[in-house]
Amino acid sequence: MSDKKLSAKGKEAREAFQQVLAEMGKVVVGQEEMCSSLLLGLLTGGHVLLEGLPGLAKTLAVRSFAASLSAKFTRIQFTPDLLPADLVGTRIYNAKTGEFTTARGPLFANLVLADEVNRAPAKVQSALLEAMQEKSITLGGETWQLEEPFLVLATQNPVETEGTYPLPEAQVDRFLFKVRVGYPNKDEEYEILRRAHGLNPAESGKPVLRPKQVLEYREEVAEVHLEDKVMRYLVDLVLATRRPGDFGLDKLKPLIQYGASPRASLALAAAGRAQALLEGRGFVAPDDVRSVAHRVLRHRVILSYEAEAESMDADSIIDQVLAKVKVP
Amino acid sequence: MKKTILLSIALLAAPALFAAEITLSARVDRNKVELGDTLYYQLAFGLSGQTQFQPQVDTPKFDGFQVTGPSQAQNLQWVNGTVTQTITGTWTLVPVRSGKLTIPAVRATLKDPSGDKAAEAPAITITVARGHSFTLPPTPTAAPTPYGLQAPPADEDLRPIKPDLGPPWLRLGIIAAAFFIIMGLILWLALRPSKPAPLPVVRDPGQLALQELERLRPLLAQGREAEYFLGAAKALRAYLAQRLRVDEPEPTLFALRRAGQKRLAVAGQPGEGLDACIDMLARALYAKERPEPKESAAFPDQARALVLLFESILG
Repeated sequence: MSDKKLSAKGKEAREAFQQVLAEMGKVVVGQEEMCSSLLLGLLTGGHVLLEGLPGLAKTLAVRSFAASLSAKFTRIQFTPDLLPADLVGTRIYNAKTGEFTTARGPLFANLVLADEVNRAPAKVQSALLEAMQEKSITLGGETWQLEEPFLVLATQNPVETEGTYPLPEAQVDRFLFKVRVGYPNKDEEYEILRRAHGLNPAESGKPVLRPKQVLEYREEVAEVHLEDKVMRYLVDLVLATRRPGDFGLDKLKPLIQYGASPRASLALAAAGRAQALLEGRGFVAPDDVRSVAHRVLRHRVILSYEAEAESMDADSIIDQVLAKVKVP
Repeated sequence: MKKTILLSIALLAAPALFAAEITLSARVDRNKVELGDTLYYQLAFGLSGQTQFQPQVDTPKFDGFQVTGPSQAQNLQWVNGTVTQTITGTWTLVPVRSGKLTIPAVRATLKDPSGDKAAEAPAITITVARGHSFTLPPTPTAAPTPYGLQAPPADEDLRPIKPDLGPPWLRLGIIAAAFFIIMGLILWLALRPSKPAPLPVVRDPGQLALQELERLRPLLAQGREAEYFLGAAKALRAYLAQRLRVDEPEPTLFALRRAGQKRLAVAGQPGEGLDACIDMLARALYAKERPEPKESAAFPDQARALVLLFESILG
């Protein structure tokens, strides 16, 4: 792998993130896409939505990721009776001094794990998503800027829909990635069992990255070159979800209700840059864009009723788009 | 054949309430035929009113014809209390000689207390021209009918007489020969050798890639590096996708590198050459800082060596 064109800082960032991945690998077996998505989210400042069945190490992965960073980590278990104040904090009256003091909520952290985010009602989700977008919280007339890096890692279970409040499309769009967490393969399952029986005990990850370093590395990501032809390529990918007919994908027309938003283009560019840095390159190649395309687009392509009737999902639509749009 | 026909009409058994009237008409379907052709002679007898007497209708004389029939049809109508009955007889005639043949007039009579009634159908002349040779069918024996007319002929007896085509085996032979000739023609048209197509030029993918790389090489000397690397990337991408059987419609350079590294590992060959080529192409196409001229100048030989390496492995 050539990294001749990476700056010294870029090389340092790459090594640091490889260490983070190694630390996570000590705890989490497999799930490379989920782990790399958390890293890419941290590098780009984009929030990550993890979707998968219970018991697939979503929470464990986020915990170990937080452990590898010496940053403040909080976990919020979303329930139907949760209130916005449980997230953002509240004002408490002090009878002795006769003044109100602010008790900050768990959102005041660098890494926030919003576990089962779709179990809380819309009002609470809205408070979380506002903080995600604005990176600030207003409490008792006072606005508090959230400390960078601020990253929300939300999980949701796609199966149990009873008593849940699905996130509206507009709010899901605020997540950089939607990662589908799948089952481990045979070898991975075997390794999980070995670790559980103490044959190969999991080591707890140790901190290898500080928040300040993360902010410096983000600047490096912004320096990664995005060539005009690659930029046009990623725009074509997004446009193909909106106007599939223009790209010879007429059969997709009835299957897509709404294509990806311009936020998808921005997300593809940012994630592509971060991916290139992790690959040790100072420039974005079409491969980098393709490797993050599913994660970036799957929650931004809204399927029609026909697609659901044909049991098609967003990933199969994205596969067809990737197969059709010309690689520069 | 009987000379007269007695028409029995049950309705006429009742006493007459008012005077009965009779009509008689004759017609042929055509009056110019060829010898051996078939024509139909129709005689229609009408009786309106009621009578207790039976009408008498002469039988037509068909000299010069072979006769089959008659077939008989009967129609009964009640209109404003008046009964009208029509009996129609149809004979099938085949002329047996040429010339003008005349079917004489036919007469019908009815004895009635109010006065005898008579009606006449005029004579009809048929012109018979000489035609092809024919064989007359045997005359069927007609059975008497309740009305005194001959029994109607069977359907097959009414069919026109067909020309004699000889014995059946000859006809079958002709049909079989025609069938085989037509089938043979169809087969010949389907399988006939078309114009000799130009022989396809089998071009080896490796040979094609090498030719393309050599064709592009002068671009480097002309300082058109961007153009050169674009063409070289296209040629190498097509070559590797084909030779490594990468099942992707739009394979990227790095996807091809992954596939190539696997193949080289299986063959126990080093992968540095592949890495160097793909990295150089990626930098030339997507990086901000393009390769140095010295690096660019070395690329054609690297690419050539890479193609030759894969050709030696893949055969």
